[in-house]
Amino acid sequence: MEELDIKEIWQTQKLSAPDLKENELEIMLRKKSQSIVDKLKKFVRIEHIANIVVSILLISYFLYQEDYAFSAALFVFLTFVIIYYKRLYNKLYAIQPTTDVHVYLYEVHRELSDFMKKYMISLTFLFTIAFGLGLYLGLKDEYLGDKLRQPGFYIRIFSTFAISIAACYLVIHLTYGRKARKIKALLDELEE
Amino acid sequence: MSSTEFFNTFIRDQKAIIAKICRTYSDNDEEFQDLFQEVAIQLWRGYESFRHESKVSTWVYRVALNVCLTQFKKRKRNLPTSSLDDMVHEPAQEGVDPIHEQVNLLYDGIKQLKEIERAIILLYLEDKQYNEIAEILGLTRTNVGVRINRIKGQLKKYMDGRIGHQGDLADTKIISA
Repeated sequence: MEELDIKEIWQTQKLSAPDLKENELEIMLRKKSQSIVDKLKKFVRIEHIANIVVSILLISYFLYQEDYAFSAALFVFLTFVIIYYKRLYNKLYAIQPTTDVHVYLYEVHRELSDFMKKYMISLTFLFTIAFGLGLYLGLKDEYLGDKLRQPGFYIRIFSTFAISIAACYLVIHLTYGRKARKIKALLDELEE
Repeated sequence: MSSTEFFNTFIRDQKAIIAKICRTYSDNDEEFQDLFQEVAIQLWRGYESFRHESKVSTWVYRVALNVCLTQFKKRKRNLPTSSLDDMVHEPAQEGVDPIHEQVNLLYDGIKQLKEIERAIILLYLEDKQYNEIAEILGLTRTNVGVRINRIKGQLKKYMDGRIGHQGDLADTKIISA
């Protein structure tokens, strides 16, 4: 088959492309994007809002309890978490599919891998804080404190902690790991 | 004219390009429609910030290819009925339209290729210059040239094989008759 033949075949195709029905484009544009970057953006935005709300509630609670030192420590820590999420969102927002394919794949892969890595680290931190906080409040409580000091309690609570973290890692890996590998394979193919 | 109406005109002008790319990366109508919709959304979002530093077609190819390459299967259908249904080729009907069959065969051949190779040959078939293909994909011109020759070889082998196979089948039918 001659070189020209393939192009000729391609150009003879009559792709029946009728006009989009009235309002069809508007309806289409109102739909949510299914792109991986937009899903990450949405995820980070929800987390960011949740972090702000939870931070305000937690700090207010400890201020109400007149535990000022703990409130201050929590304020510093949560401020860092909020700044981190804001920066993560800004970096995701900067990725646009209008760049060339190589740049786009590279940026999506970098952000996806970074997202997974940083999310696992921050999850470990937040889990530790949540468990530590629960333990701290529980031990402070007279009634609960006695129950918590029963034998085997620490083994149970640390096992639950480890299993919860492992389960979260697995979910992140299954949700984003495969996608990151696919994009890496495309990038390798492009760079070969 | 509102921005939506303006964009509607833009999409109408570009939809043949978008449809060809989406068809290359989809296995059925549902995937095609989801890809088309996603490309339209991304074009709409980038439309206002498009500064005409490159040709409009280059920009559309970039967005469409980036979307198609990074869109993952297993998508939920969210466009119940649409005129896009009419944009996809129906399966080839044997003996009805040889040109239609050849086009389908070419698409089949392209779908056998790796995803980046599909993008390269698609741009080549769209009569893009090596420089423009390199600009869209972020490759060097030399790399594009080398790859196109290799992919054309693969495609030729596939199509020759399929045409030979179809010829054999036709001969068998004649002998049987």
